[in-house]
Amino acid sequence: MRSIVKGIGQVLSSFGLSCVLLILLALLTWLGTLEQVHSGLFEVQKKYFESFFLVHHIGSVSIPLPGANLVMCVLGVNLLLGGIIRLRRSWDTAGVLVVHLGIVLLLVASFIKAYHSQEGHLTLYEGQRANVYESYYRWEVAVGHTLPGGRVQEFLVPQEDFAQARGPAPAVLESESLPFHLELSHFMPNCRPLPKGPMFDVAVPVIDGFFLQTQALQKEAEQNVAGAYAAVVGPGGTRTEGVLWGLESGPWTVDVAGESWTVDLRHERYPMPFTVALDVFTKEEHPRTNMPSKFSSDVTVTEDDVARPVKIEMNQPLRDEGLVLYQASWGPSNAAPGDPLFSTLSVVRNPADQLPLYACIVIAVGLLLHFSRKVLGYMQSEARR
Amino acid sequence: MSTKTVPFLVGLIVLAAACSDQDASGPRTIRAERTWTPVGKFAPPGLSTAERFGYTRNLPQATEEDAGGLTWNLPDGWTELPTSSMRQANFLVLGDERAECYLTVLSGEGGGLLANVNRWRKQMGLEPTDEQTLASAPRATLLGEPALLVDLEGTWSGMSGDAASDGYRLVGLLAVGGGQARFLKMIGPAERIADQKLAFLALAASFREGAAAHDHGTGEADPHAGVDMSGAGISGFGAPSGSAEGLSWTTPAGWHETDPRPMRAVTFEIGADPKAECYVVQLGGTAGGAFANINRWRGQMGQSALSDAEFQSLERISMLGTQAVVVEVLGTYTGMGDDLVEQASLLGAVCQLPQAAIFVKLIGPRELVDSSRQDFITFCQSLGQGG
Repeated sequence: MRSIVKGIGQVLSSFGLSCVLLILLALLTWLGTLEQVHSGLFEVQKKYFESFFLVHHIGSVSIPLPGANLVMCVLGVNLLLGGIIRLRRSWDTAGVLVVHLGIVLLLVASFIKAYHSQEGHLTLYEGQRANVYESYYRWEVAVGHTLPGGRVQEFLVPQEDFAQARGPAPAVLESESLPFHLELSHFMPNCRPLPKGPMFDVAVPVIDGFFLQTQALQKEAEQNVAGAYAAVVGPGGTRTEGVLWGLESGPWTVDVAGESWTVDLRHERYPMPFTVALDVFTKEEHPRTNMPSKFSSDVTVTEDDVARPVKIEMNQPLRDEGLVLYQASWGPSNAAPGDPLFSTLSVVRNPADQLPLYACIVIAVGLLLHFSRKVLGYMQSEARR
Repeated sequence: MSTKTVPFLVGLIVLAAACSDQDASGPRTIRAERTWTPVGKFAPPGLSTAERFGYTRNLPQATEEDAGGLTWNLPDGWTELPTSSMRQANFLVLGDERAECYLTVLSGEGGGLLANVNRWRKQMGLEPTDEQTLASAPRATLLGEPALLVDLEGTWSGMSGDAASDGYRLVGLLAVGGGQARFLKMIGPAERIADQKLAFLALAASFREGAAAHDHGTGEADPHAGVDMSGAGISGFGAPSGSAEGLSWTTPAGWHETDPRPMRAVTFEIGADPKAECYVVQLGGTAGGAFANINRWRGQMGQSALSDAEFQSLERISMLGTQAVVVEVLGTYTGMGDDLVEQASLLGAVCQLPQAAIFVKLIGPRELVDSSRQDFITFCQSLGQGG
């Protein structure tokens, strides 16, 4: 047993494994980039970079590969074992040791980003304000009702809890605080609601004259609009059925035991600790073209009744309370001159936001240390001649 | 690996599975709960299903004067459905998704009584009837006027003739006069229609003009607010040449506008060939979308459906301030009325506006269509709104 563990340790800490892993990372990056011709960014990220295993297809040939997630995990172990534990510790190797630490920091930052960050967008027309931002891809079902004072109590069901209910068998969701349980079925990642006529049959339920028609998945995942059938089963088994759709103009409203509840299928919403109001959106164009050269958003950030003006523009994000708001895009793209424009701010909550910067500094210090020592050694040997 | 290691690993896996927090098939507990104060504009609760899905305003809104301000008494258990350009009132009968009822009002004669009765008879798989039989048919009240009552039972083949449902029944009222053609039609399984025939007649008699809301007997405040009553097929037929249904255009040389036809904003004859025509149809919403309609056109020409990639590669032109998909199909044309045109060519353009879809279709002998291609494109690009 000890020899097996020792053998595994030697393999995991070897320089050869480092080379293989780095080549695999380069290969995955290359294949993932090529795959974006056929699939959108979101799908490629999931398949090549957030997975442990994948199968890449070249024509009719299927090639199993480790995902970047697995490769980076092993690389982290390899760096720890090989670079830090096995490395001879002396002043000669101090710089290399620091560089290894920096790379480990980078991997830790990517791990935190992958598993503990929230990414979305905040889209506002001038004069609008909001204190939540929305995911680009992830869906949730929010069951809510209004409380006195304009507050809202919401019970949130993440996509994982109902996305498997693709057929009539429902995902049943309950809470002790709810006077009913919710059933979600026929989840469709991309669909549209249509009125049902007698000239055709459909394989899904028809509710209030409407049914959901599934659509082919779009290449860019953010263009998909999910839908599902919902049923609220109240006290005594009273059952009310409705249709949910991601682009609906308002939530499905249902009365249970004399109280009005809303059920809403929407992109995941993340609250912000402050309110952002878009005061002015500015778009400058290259001379005699419609190509924007620069666009920026003048916003007012209000927190605890204290308001302050902030200008958000390319490469000048707003950082506050662990959130980073970047100027991402604007629209509508086909707006005529004089039409109101909206500004889209990309919002990221990443606890490791600054960690890559610190990692790069550590790596730079390590390299400086290492090469300074080498130069000094060379100069000393030259002087001895 | 020692013999002790395997049970140890198996135990670990079993333990991990046992620690799994949720049973995959059983009820799940909603864990995330939050109370917060939303800031900004959020969608209001309490909307109807049609309103939530954007189906209540299918076409540009007309004033009540334009629409004639129709109102009616909704039969018990019936549901109002979204209106469309050809359905000024639209209902689901007693919650039965196979049974529907709708009112269509057209300017002019809409083809006349006999043609429409025979069209309905054909949809039910029945032989045509004649004027003499119609003269002795019963009458009932529709929009305050006597209307011809038909009651047909047979195999419902659908509007496009590609469905086949046995045991269906069609009850309809037709009235032509005063510059309008009015049709109220209920179709569905025979037993359901028999059950609801009296409700249908009561509904027909209740249609009236002028009031602001419908009597649902529920005490709801204006539940029909937002339902489009423009009857977009109506106003265009009386409009000056070059505009109809809120559309305007420039007529190419050699094209001649024909008499108004149901469902069409305008129809043109091209040259002297009676088999060649070009027409414009405006429908609310997406009307199935460009992809489905282009493949339907290809089916009419005996061609297979396009793939997504083939559809994406189709020509696009500017039309009505947006992009329209243009398709050209060669083959043998089988029209809605089973009319055949050998060696035919079909040129079509589909344009999706925010509230409506516009279809322009040129069909005829191949040589004539080929020579009219540039006129077709120019015509499509000349289309404007607000005519």
